[in-house]
Formats: sequence, C-alpha cells, structure tokens
Amino acid sequence: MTFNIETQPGLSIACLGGHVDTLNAGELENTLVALADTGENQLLVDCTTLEYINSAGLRVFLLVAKRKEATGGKCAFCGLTTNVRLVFETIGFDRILTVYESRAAALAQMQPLSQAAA
Amino acid sequence: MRPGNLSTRLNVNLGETVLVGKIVREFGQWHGIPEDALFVVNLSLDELVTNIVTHSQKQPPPPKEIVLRLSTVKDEVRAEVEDDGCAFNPLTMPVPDVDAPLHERDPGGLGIHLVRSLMDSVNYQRVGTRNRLTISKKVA
Repeated sequence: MTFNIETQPGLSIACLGGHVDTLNAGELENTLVALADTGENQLLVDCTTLEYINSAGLRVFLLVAKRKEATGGKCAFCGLTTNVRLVFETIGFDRILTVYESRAAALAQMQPLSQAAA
Repeated sequence: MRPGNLSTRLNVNLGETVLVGKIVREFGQWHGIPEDALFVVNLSLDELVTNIVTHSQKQPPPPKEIVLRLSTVKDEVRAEVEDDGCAFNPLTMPVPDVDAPLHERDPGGLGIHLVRSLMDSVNYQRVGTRNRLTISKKVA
C-alpha cells in the first residue's frame, strides 16, 4: 500500500495505491481518519493506482466518508480502476459515496468550492 | 483455460491471506484464467480465509488448519476453502442493506456479501468435523 497526501486550499487529497487488505486496513484507517479530522474541509481519495481492495479497506472508506460528512465536510473518491469500481458497485458504494471518474473531474467539482471558501 | 488443480494447506492467521493472493495469481497465470475472473476469485478467497481466521478467535476451539483447493474445469474456475473449526456457515450472516443511505450504512458483513455477489455459486457444507465452502465462477 502506498499513501501520499497533497494539500490544496480547502482540499486534502489522499493518493492511495497498491493493495489494501486485511493486514494493512488498520494502518489505512488511522491515516485516513487523522487526515479527515485534521485536514482540509474537503477530502478526496484518489484511487488511480489502487489495484486491490477487500472488505476491510472498503469498511475504512465507509467509516471515513461518514465521519467527514458528520462534521460538515465533504468526502469523495476518484480514479477507480476496473476492479475497484466493480467492488464499489457490488456493495452499492457508487450510490452512497461521491465518486468521480478522474482526478480532473473531481477537481472541477471540488476546486470551485475550495476557492469560494478561501 | 488449461485444466488443472491445486491443493495446499494454510495456517490459521491473517498473514496467510497474502499467500492466498500469490497462490491464486500464480495458479491463474499458469492455467490461463482471465484477469477479471482471477480478481474476483482472489478477492472471494481472501474474504473467506479472513472470515475463518477472525471468526475462529471469537469461538474456540480454533481450527488448526485451512485447506485451499483450486481447479479449472472447462469454462469454470472452482475453489474450496475448508477448515477444521467448529461449525460456522458464513452464508447465514445477515445481508447488508446496500440501498441504505450513507449515515445508515453499517460497515459489517461486506466481505461475505462480495463473495455471494461476485461468484456464480457459493455453497456451504459441514463435512464431518470440517467446514467446506465451495465457490465457482464461469469464465466467458
């Protein structure tokens, strides 16, 4: 699993790559929850290089999105690979989470908000 | 696909799920399993082995071993996961409500739901003192 954080005005971007599984989901949870709590008001999880995720990782996505929205923030996901998109659709995450096709599409929606907030 | 089968034993710990991934990938490459089928079979076996390990910690005595079997037959990939723990049918676990809005979604039960949805068939049998889950996926 790789995890990099980028910060733009009003927007934290977490670039998640590689494999998220039962063994490293706890580490992902700690990192993403910390970013959701201390980062910018909007959180974008960029999954462009995420090759594999199982239910342990999906549970973290759900938890973080709920947490972010409960505190009035926004949470979105972008750049799902074919496999990750399939699991998102299978468990209905595409309907309850905000998902953008690509990072560019996500920024087009989220950046105007962050600029307005700045 | 090239017809064939493989059987191996796993220890009962979560670290073995990484090994399951490697075994399934290598088996898939060797037998020409298409990438999309390989991903869902790999994910399903990861979920099932994770389930056995985490469930075993809640309900002693824990299983001593997990047996993994893989086979390719004509246009179908089949897999079996067997453990010698106490009787446990994960298919009886409640199905998550995938239509519930975000704030009502409960993060539990996602793994087995993925297995049920992504496989063409999932069956549980109690065979003597062992739990056996059989899954299959048709390959286009």
